[in-house]
Amino acid sequence: MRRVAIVGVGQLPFRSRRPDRIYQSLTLEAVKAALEDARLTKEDIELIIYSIYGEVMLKQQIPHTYVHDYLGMEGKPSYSIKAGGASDGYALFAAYCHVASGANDLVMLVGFQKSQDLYSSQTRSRGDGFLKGGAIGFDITWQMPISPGGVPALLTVSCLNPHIQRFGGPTPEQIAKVSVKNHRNALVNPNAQLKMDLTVEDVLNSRIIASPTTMYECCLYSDCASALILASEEKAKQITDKPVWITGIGLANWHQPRLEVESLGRMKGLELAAQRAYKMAGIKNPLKELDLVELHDFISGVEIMAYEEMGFCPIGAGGRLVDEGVVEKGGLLPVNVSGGRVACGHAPGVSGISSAGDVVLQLQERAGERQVPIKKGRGLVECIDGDATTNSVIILERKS
Amino acid sequence: MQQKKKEAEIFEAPYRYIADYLYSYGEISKFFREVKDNKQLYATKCPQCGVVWCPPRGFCSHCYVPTDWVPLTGKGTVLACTYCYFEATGEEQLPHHFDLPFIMAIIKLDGADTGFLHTVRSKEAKMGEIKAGTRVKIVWREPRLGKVVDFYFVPDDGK
Repeated sequence: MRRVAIVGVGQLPFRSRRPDRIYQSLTLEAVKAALEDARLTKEDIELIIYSIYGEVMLKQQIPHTYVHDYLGMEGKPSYSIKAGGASDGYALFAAYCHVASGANDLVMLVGFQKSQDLYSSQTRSRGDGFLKGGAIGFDITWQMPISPGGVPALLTVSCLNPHIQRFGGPTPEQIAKVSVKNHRNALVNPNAQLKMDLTVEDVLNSRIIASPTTMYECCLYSDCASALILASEEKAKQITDKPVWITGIGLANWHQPRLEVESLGRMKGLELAAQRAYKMAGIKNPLKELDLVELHDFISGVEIMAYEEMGFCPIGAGGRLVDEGVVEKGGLLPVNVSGGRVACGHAPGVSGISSAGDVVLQLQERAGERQVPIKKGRGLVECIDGDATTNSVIILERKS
Repeated sequence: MQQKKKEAEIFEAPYRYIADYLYSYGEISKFFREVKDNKQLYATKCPQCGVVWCPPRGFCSHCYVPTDWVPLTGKGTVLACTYCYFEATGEEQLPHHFDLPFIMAIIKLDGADTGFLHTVRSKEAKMGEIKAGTRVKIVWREPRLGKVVDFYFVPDDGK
């Protein structure tokens, strides 16, 4: 297998809605930014892999073909990867494989999604329209008719609450502290959608969505696009003197809604994905060998569960990392310096690509005000599905 | 100002996509026929490994062999639950409305090996009343359409 580097990052701000752009032009802006970042032209790109979460939300089947045309990429192959909320991580794996195998030297990874074109004419709310449209992701026969609370409720009942029952934590205060941390981090991120300086009380006193998960502990929804350019070693060295290498990548599916009693309260797929990524990257103690982590905080409680499943601490001890400030921006292992999905924003299928871009910028020490100290030269990106069915963990390194 | 001017020029059009389905429950048709006609819950048991699936599966996902039908009592125990104060989705054509808060629960039905995701109702829905370990029993709705919402669960007072 050949070494693979990320040589270009194209990020756009997360915004609740972009009525000023159709999804094709939104994508073009992200692609243009990535090409400019790598000082390449579209002619240099051999293949594009698209990450697309929801066609229902885009009101369009096979949308990537229309985007590919809009990008002027005739003659170049493209396909789209769908793996739920982790489409971004799985698509990154596909792009990695194209370069690692020797099939391609320069591959672009592109995610795009509009969420808020959906609209409920009943309640005149775009949020309600989105949640209703998104419910088609639930099993139509068994889950959708009885899941009007949407993914936050499903994730709370199938992951967080059984975890709290089995392991005695995290506490409501610890979960709220994670939300406060991520909102605070978002204050200095120009790409962040929601900038609010919240207190633990604000979070705990906000509306309960699905007990104990409160409104400020739920992720946002955004219209966004993001792109990365992956290159072989030879190409990477021609393009940049700061390549960031993909040194570990692990995926695992674990159908959470199957609800087998012994795996309740765990995210076993995430544990497996992390173990695979660590093995590939040679990581023994992630807490001490990483500079930062960007992960999928669909609800804040699940961010704490992710610390545990990814081995930053024993199962059940995640709340302690919050209390001790380990995961704060100035802590031993900062998590979600971008603000995470609850504050930076969330466009499923796009967020993980943007998170990988964030870690690349951090490792290259060009993350501006949100820059954290880089001592080990290594970061982690975790992308999972809303109910932890699809899980991906990617290790990025600035030198090796 | 430039931005405001741009936004004023944006034109929005309504669009509604409707697709009607008449879909087959295939080899698990019996489950919904029994729910609709006989108010009886069924699970499927793997003749090889013995795992009892509910929701039922026509084939065991562990052994790949066809399963056998076994009746359940409609009673069970809550493994985990959450009180939901937010309703956005739900099927429009369903006659059943979700009052807030409603309680989403993973229920281990007596005789089954898998968790069953469903709703528990109680008169007061007092926070903490329904919790892990709470015994529940099935309540059948009228009329039934042959759907998972044809029933729900309530605390089992033993009567």
